[in-house]
Order: sequence, then structure tokens, then C-alpha cells
Amino acid sequence: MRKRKLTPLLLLLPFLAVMALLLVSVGNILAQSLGYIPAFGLTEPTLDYYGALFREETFLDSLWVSLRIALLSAVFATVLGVAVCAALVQTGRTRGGMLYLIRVPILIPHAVAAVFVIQIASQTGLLARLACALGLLSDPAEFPQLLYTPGYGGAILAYLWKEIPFVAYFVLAFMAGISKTLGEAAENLGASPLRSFFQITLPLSLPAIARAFFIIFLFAFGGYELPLLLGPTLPKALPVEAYQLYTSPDLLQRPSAMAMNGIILLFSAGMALLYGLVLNRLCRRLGVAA
Amino acid sequence: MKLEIENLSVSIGRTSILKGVSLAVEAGEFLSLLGPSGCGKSTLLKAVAGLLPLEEGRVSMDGRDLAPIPVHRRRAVILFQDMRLFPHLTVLENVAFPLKMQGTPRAERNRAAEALLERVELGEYARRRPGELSGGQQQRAALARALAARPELLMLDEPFSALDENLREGMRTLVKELHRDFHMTTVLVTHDREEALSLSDRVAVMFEGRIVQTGTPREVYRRPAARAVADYFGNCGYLRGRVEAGVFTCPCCRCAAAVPDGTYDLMLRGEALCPGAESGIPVTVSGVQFQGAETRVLFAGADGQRWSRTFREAPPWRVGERLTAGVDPGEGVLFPAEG
Repeated sequence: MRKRKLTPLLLLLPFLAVMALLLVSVGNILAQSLGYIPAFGLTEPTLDYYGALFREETFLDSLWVSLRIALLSAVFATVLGVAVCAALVQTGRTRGGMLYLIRVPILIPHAVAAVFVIQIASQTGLLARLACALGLLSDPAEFPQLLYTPGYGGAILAYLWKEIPFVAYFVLAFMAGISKTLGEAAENLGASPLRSFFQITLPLSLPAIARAFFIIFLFAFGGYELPLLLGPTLPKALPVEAYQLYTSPDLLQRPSAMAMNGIILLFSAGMALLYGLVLNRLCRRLGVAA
Repeated sequence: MKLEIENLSVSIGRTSILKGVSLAVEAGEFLSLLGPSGCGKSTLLKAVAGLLPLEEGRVSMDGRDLAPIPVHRRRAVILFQDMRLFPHLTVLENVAFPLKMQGTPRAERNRAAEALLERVELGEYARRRPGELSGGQQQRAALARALAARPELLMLDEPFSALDENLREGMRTLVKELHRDFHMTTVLVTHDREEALSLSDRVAVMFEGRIVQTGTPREVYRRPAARAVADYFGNCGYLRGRVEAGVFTCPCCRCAAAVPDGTYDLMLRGEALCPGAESGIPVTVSGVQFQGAETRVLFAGADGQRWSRTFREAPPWRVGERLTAGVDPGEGVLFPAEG
């Protein structure tokens, strides 16, 4: 009897261990961001490091860059991903070969995606040479500079390459389910396939679409590899700036680096809270279970 | 609107569901498609509505082939078993939805939707969401929405199966009244024999993707075309005998028979038995069930047959009592002997 009671707890142990590690790390980041690092002789907690960051232009530029990358890639990936998903649902290709194809970019690591983008979209890349070969450009160097620019076009492109399929895959089962039941009913009641999609299937798929949007937005906001590999020297994305400050030989920079991490963390937590609120409201408005 | 289905075959994946179904439903007729779960009834509705591709055959309405007509222009509306009300719209918006799709102006479609909601006694629920309604109310809202589409053919897919018995009766009455008021050709899918018999002008009995018999409720019940049909309605037993020179003879009865000579089973419904007669077949009372206005008595035959009959006055028999039941062979149907 006692053994039976203990079993669920034992099975939970690995999860609890991982969560404990995570919470300890988060606590450590927050403590260090407040300037509490006894090993360096810093024992007085203070909000000064946060305050100082918001007075620094480099930090504000980095924050803006990260928000911009996250917002642009998440908005475009969501719109295009939903369009791909809708095409798959409308053509009935919700299983089989096409899905395997869609899963490929999701499985490929970000660093590899960065290499692809360099190969394809740089001024010496495939697209530039193809445009030149077709006579559209007289010289490959005329191809628009997308990589290593302050606009982070390359990083956004790479995120789109990975996230459009992610959104399509993430929303597909949900949207297919709605389309097969309520979408079908709408058509049966006289709605054309297009109106059935826009009036019934799409609005009712919004909870899944919102979930996908928040996941990719937060991922891109905290993403490190793509801005590092495809971005310019300045302004740096926030995670890149934080990492470089963290690895700085000047150990007294550590609290500032941790304050940046703290801001990423708090922003993400705030977004998660907002996500919960928005989703709950959305589901209530749509009359569906959250 | 007359519906004609000719030699229709439909497969889902590699499984053949409908195997050469032919059926005609006259304009304004109420036809029940009766059969056990999984026999292809719902598939037939979906195929007619254009929601499933036809493998073979033809579906036409008033002689017009439906193949080139897309789903949303067929005016063949299904009332789905799971209702499929749109959860993000109010009840009124749900009912007004088909009219909106037809381009009816807002004020006009809302008036029409309100009138339909009044008709199904849901007037006061117009501004609510479907999720706030009970199962029975949702079913009525779905019915009002189907009617709002002004269908030429209304197909009801087991609409009462999820309802409590008392709600079911009210819903059946409502459907019948609406059918009378709107004069729509109506097909009801059900596995409930009583429902099919009591509501329909005609009943089509379906087994394993084929229609086995179509006829009036009286015909399919009293003159089943196959043993499967007889057995599906229940309350029947068989008496083995021989036909010679146009006369069927078994140990307890004789009757004229217009079939070739041979061994036959005479199918008898419980109603053909007259327990307490001087001569006939031996039966044992195996149960007496008081049902309010009537009493149902269960009988067991000597060869394992099971019959029942209802009596307005409770009969004096006790469980276990042996009786002789007179037989009215005119009420029976002969099937070639099996086994």
C-alpha cells in the first residue's frame, strides 16, 4: 500500500530534479543581477545594475533589436505558417509525405539553418548568382545585402525558414479537426470553402495559432545563434550582448550581464502571463475550452 | 424535391462502406434509413451531401445530377448527430448563418432566425452561446439552423440518440410537425426501430452497406423481405415445416403458401400468437412486465423462440406457467429453411 503511494512520487523525481536545477539557476541569475556575488566581495543587493542598463544606449539598442527580430519573425512566420496550414487542410493533405517534408526544417538545428541562409541569401549566394545568370542583375554584388546588416534580415529569414513549418505543423491537427467537423457543417449550410474557412475554421483555430505565435516569439527573443551568426557587429541582439558581457575578463561586469539575463527572464515571464490571460480571454470569447 | 440514388458505392480508405445502394425518396416524403451502427447510414447521407466522394453511381435531385454541384450549393442539409453548432457565435447568429451565406440582409435574416427559434421554443435563448444550452436545446437550435438553410432535402443523422427518453419524444413530435409545415423531403437515419416505424412514410432497412428492403413501416415490420430484417425488428420466432402443393404444414398449424415445395421456416411475430387458446404451440411464460398503461408478457417457445405481447389488462398468468398459444399463420412470413 505504502509502496503504491510512493510510486508516483518516485516517477516524478526526474522531473522535480530538472525543475529544481532550473529554479536554482533562475534564483542564481536574479541574485547575481542584483549584485549579490559573495565570491567577488559583492554582498549588498541593489537595483543599480538594472538602472544603469536602461541608461545605456548599447543595451537599449540590443533590446530593440531583439524585440524587432522576435516580432517580425513571429508575425511573418505565423501569417505564412497559417497560410501553409490552411492550404494543407483545404487540399486534405493532413497526413503522410507532405508532413515529413514540413518536419525537416523543424528538426534542423539553428546553426545549420544559418549556414543555409548564408549559402542562399548572401551577395555571393545561390540567389544572387541565379539572378545574375538569368540576367536580372549585371553583378551578384547588386543583390540586396540581407546578411550582417543592422536590420537582421538574415536572422529573420533563417527564423522564418524554421518557424513557418513549425507554425503549420503546430496548428495543423487542431485546424484539421475544426475543418472536418464545423467547417464541413458550414459548407453543408451553404458557405463556400473560402467563407467556411474565414468565418468558422480560422477564428476557431485562433487559440492554437496564438500558442504558436507566443512560442516562436519568445524563442526568437531569447535566441542566440542566429543573431550571432547572421547579424552585424553592432547593434548586438540582447542574448549575444549578455553572453559577451558574461564572458568578459572583467568579472565585475557579471552583475550587468546577469541583469540583462534577468530582463530577458522577466520579459519572458511577463509574456507568458500575458499569453495565459490572452488565451483565456480568447477561448472564452470563442466559447471553446482553453 | 425527389431524391434518387442509383447504384451508389463509397469507400473510405480501402474499406468499402456502401455497396451499390439504390434508393428513391419522393418529394415531401419522410423516409427513415434504419440499420445497426456501422452499416453505412451516415456515410450515405454524407455522400448525398457531397461530403464524401462517390466511387460509383449517381445521386440526383429532381433528375438533376448532383456530381458537378459543390457541397455548399446542393441544399441537401444534414442535421449532424453531434449538432456542430458554431461555439463562437450566439444561437441567433448560428441560425442566421445559412441566411448570411445566401446574402440575406442582416435585419431580414435576424428576423427569420428569431422566427425559427420561436418555432423550436428557443426564442429566449437567442443571445446565448451554444455552450450555455442543454443537449436538447442544442439539438433544437441545430434543427432551426438546418431549416434556415431552406433545404430541398433535410437529412437527420440520429438526431435523438443523445437525448433523454422524455426529450426524445418531444423532439420527435417537433420534427414531425416541422416536416408537415415545411413539406421538405426528409431522410432520418436511425437505429431505433420504434422511431423509424412511428415517424416515417417509408422505411429503408440497411445492412452492411446495402439496402435490404424499402417499404411502408407496416410492410417492413409485417412482411420482412429477409430474415435479417425480421430479426432486426425483434419479437419474432420461427416454426419449421414443409410446403407441399401450395400448403405449409408444421406440427401445430397449416396455411396456404405460394412458394415452391421445400422445407421452410414460418416467421411469426409475437402479435400473431394468441396465448390461452385450445390448440396451437406450447409456450412458457418467461416474464411479466408492468409498463403503466400496458403489461408486456414474455413467452419462450419449445425450440428457444422468444416472443412478447402487450395486453391492456394484466393477464392472469404467472412466470413459469405453461400455455398453449394459438397461431394466426396469415400473419407469418415464410423463409427457406436454414441450417
